[in-house]
Amino acid sequence: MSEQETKVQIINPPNSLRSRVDDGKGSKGLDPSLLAKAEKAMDDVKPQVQEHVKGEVGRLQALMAKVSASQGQDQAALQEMFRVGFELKGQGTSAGFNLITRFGDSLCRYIEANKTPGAKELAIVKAHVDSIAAIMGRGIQGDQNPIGLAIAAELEKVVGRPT
Amino acid sequence: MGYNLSKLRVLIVDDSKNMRMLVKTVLNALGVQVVREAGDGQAGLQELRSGPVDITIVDWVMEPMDGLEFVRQVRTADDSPNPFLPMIMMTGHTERHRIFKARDAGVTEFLAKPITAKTLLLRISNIIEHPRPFVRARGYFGPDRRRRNEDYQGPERRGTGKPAEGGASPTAASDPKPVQA
Repeated sequence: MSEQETKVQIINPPNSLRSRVDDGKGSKGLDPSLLAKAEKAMDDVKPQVQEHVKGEVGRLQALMAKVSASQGQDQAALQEMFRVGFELKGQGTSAGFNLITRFGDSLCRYIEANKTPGAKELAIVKAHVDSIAAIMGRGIQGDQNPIGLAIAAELEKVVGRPT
Repeated sequence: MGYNLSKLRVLIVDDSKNMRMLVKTVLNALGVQVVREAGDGQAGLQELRSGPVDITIVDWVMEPMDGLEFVRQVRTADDSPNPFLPMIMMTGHTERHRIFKARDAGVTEFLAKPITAKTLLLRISNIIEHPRPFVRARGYFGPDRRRRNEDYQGPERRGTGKPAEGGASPTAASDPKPVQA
């Protein structure tokens, strides 16, 4: 290996952010009250996020019907299911439906690992979708619902651990 | 009182309009007034070229250009508006191998979805308070991937280990650690 190939350069770019956020009073760090303000702002938009998640759950159910009708052959619908599941994973908790995030995560990992699902695999996919729809339909918020937790744990046993 | 974030200019690159709304809401509540938005990596690059940005928050899964390619372009493209731009990768991809992939593309911070106000604030705070030096090596340009200054006893693995002009000495550290959200 030549010296050129092994050369490593360390660069310290100027930190313009510090001066940009300087309030001119010598204050440092972030104002702790900011966090409370930001959390309240997130709470205030929760109804909008819930509406969005509700729409995505409906889309997921429609896609499940397509995938089932094609006996797992509709790859476009399956990939779209992955994308919707990923969206639900990312935003379920922000909408207050923490278990939707958990089922969404498990669903995405399962679809990723089973790109050409047979009847058995489709049943597992559908169990995820039905669970997500039930949480949404019954308005089960938080992450403490015992039935939801039990189903999630069972499905995660089938799906396996993330790598 | 603490930092005043009102002058920060933040770009959110995410294909989910709802997610952009959520992040923008949090940023506005933190006092950030200039929040620009883009729906994919290509649009994000155009936004960067249209005016200065201090921090970018970028999603991973987008089409046609995903977040990983966006980060690579910002770091290494000849016409990049700011190769040193702090970038927070915000994603539901939390598997270890994907965190390493994002790190190796040159992301500054990793933020796992679902986000909370606290985790977003912590990432921004980290960028302001603990800026890392940049490393240019064969096959990598981006923030120093060694985050911890531990008493590493092994051989130097960065080649010469000599600092560039005006730069700091490379830190001796253990294996690079991923940033867990």
